[in-house]
Amino acid sequence: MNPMMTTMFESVPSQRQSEEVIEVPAISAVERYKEIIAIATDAAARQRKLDEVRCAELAERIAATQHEIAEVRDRERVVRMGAALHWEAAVEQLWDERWLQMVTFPQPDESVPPRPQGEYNRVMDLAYQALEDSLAKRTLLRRKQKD
Amino acid sequence: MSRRDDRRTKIETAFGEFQRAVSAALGSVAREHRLLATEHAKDMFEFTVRGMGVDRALQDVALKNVTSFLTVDEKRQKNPRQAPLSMAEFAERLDQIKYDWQQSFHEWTTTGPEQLTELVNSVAAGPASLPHGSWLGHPGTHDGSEGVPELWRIGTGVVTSAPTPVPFPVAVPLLDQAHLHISSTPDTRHVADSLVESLLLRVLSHFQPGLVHVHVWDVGQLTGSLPGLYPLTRANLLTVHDPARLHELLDEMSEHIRQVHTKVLVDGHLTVRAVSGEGRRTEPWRIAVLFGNRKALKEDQQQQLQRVARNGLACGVQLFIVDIPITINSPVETVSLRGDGTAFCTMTGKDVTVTLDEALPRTLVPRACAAIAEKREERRSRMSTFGDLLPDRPWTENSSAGVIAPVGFDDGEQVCVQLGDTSPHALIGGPSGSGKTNFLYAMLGSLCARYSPNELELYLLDFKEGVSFAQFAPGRKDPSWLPHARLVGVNVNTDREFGVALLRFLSDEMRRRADAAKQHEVTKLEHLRAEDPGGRWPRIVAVIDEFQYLFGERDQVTAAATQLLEDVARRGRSQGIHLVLSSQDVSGIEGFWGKSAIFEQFTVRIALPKARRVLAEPQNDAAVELPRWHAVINHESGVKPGNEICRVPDSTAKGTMDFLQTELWRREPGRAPGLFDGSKIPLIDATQDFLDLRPGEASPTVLLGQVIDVAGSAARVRFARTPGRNIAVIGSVVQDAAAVLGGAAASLGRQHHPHEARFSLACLVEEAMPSALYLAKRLSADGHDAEVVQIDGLRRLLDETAAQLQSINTGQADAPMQPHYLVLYGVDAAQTLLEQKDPATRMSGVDSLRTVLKHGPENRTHVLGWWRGVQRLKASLPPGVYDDIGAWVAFDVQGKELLSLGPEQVMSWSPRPRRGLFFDRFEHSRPQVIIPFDTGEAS
Repeated sequence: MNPMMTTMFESVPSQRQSEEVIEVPAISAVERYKEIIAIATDAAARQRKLDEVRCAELAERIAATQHEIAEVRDRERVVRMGAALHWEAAVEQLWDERWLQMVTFPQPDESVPPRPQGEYNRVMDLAYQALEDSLAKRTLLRRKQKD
Repeated sequence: MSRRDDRRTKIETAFGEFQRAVSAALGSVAREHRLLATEHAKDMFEFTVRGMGVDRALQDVALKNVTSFLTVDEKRQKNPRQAPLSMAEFAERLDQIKYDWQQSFHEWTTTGPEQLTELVNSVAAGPASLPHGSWLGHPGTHDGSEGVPELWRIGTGVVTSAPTPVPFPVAVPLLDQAHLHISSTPDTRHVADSLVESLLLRVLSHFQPGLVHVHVWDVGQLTGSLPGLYPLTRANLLTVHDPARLHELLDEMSEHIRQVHTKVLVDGHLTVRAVSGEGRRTEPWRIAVLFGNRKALKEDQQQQLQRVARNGLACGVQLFIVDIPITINSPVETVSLRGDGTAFCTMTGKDVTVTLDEALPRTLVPRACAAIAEKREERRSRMSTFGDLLPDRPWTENSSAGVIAPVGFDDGEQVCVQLGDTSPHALIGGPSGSGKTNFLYAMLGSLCARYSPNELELYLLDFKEGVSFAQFAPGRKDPSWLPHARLVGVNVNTDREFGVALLRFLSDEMRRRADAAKQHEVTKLEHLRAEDPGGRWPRIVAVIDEFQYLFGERDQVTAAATQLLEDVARRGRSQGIHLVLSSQDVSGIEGFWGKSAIFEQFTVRIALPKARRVLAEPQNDAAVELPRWHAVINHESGVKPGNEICRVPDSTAKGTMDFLQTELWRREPGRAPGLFDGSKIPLIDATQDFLDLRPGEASPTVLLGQVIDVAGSAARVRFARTPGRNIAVIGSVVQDAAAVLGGAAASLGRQHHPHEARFSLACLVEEAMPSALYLAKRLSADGHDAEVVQIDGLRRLLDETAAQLQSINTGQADAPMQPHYLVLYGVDAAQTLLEQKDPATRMSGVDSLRTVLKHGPENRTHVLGWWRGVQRLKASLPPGVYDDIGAWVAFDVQGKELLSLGPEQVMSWSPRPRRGLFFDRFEHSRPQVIIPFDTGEAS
């Protein structure tokens, strides 16, 4: 028995003898190296996954937007066509008004406040109507002369 | 205002309104279209960037030069309406992508490269990782005791997919850990060559020259691969193999692996590294570099290479395989070179692009190799000394699995002797002058410096003065001793019994250990030590020099020796008891070679120059041409492939073994070893058994001399009060007889208080007078009553004593309480006188003597008599009845004369100087040889 031991009970758990070697499964440098590299590999994989998910989302949206673009493109064409017809009619009617300084076809003004397109279309129709009305008297006379 | 003007104004206003309305209608729809298109473009952009990977996308030229506008109305070919579209437009999307990216790589970016740099720096010090400037050209100094760098640098890596590409060192495991497989493209083969060269130089510059051997085979060329390494061939550190002879290289590696398995990987060790432990690397590494041409090897070579790869790492064989397609069933790291010179490797995975380190400067490599070769030559040619056998720090090794110690040098490399479970015992042969003593000293010194006395005990015996182990015991000039020595026997000469005693001791110890092992339910010492860590179970090495003396004659000693030797040889291995037997000429020792059970256990054979039969002759004649100071060490029972030739350093000169002994003794002397010196006579006053004697014992003990045993104990006879307790000394030489009688009387004197016992000394031959007087003086000095009578007083002494005994026997007197010892020198000289009868009583002196012998012991009266011959003794005894002499010591008397006094074993006794044959019929089954004490009379 250890002569230093004074009681039957040890207050401190028995200490490791110098000769004993605690069997700790020591991790080798190679394993450690690969562990650290795995941080990067995992990060890359995580990023790839994230991108994949987002790409799937985007793919859906792109398909939807393309459809909408096709619609708006048609709509635009109709508006342009209507505008052009009105414009041609207006020019024709203003032909006799020699005093009037003629101008080119108006440029689109994108700064207008966002409103449904129909409203603008209607306003355009009404403006044309008003223009026509302003020219009406003469037209009426002419028509009478023709008749 | 006129009506006309009024109309005009109206028209102008209406036309202005109309123009604005057209602009607004067009603008509104155009904006809607543009916004949708922009959102769509952004989505496309993000889709593209994420789809190809942000890292690659940012590098992508196409994306960088992305069109700066977006065509909104593709139908207007001539003047397309354009929406501005620059990277800035997408900054928000890109920022989000980059944020995600950074988040994903956050841990890596903040810790990864830094940790890798730290790791490589910590496990790959010096040449293993530093740039060549600090080491190239300086031969390595490591001997493997500090371990092997776990990683070896090959270049720099970056994680290409990371947001911030921080470079970090890329390193691969090599020696003992993993092979290396390199594959290149036709354009990058030179990069592979440089990688191999750099790695080899790193390894070669890390370790002491000689610890790494390189073999190169290139399918394409005989010379030319790794030209910078050629200076190494000079020192045998580089072997270039013929392109057509890959099998030779593979055979060599296979053979090496086989040898390591049989010689080094014993006692359950799985790798050379485990055997070397924390000590110096005992087995050099062999690196085989194989350059292929991207075509598979022949089937048989492929298989052999796979075998080498599978078993090589454990045996120190490392493969660098370049451009040979092969799968290997053992740890291997792969470096694959891309066409652009970068590489990826299995250490770092596919996300890391490795840029290999620059090739070493072309001019410096041959110079560095020359320096390594030179250093190697220098080491090889250096006279390795006794000091080089010793470890840096003494007593650090553990002997659980066996003991191993270098005994000499081969080309500057240590050659070891190993004693363990697979090589349990050693046989050494060498004629006188061949350096046997020197070898034994080298071996013992090397062992004792490595293992502490708690790990190793030595029992040393020399029969002849050829080798002297006397130095290992304390002497007059040198008080130190070898702390490991438990017993030193010197000048044993004809005391072959001592050899038997040693073997018997070992046999008993073996049994004791086997019993202890059994209690712990194990069978081997190694396991016993593991089970009983608190116990003291050192390995025992018993060296018996000139052991042939043990078997010198056809007698019981030889028979006993043979039997015990067989016992110890066969079973000692598992109990950690190892025999080292040496002899000038082992060839004709029948007791040894006659029994295969014995000599087959002596697997370690050590032949000194001109030694015969130690090695397996005639195939193995290595000892014949061995130069002086050399030895053949063979752990394979002497067969030729097991030969290791080494030069044994001078270990007997002043300052070698003696110095080591003093150092170790100062460190921890322990108990002095027992010494048996056949040329010395034991001094009774120095004998422990004598000193232990005390008055007060009912039956005093008589010490007659020293028995030849390991403990050096005394031969004793108990003087109980029973018939026959008399002692006869038979022999013609007064010195021997006086020594026995003197020792016996002195030991009796020690067991009585003053005046308690009566000593009557009768000196019947003149030569014995000085001894008798000396004894009387000694007894008187102890306070005893000691009278000396001469021949004229003998008759009266005997008659009186006989009459006294008669009166007690007839009840006329009480039994005398006082012990009475009659010490008679040369009883037979008074025979004629004693034969005369008393005219009155018709009784002779012989009758009185017989009465004293017959009835004395039970009445505490004992005779210690010296007769000068067996017949003369018999004449003093009743015809044919000799049992009144219970114990006797015979000197110069032939064995057959003693037959009537003892068992048949006495037959083999033949007289030898200063040795007596002792037999106590009450206690012994066979006689013992004793050495009479020196009672101090001579001085």
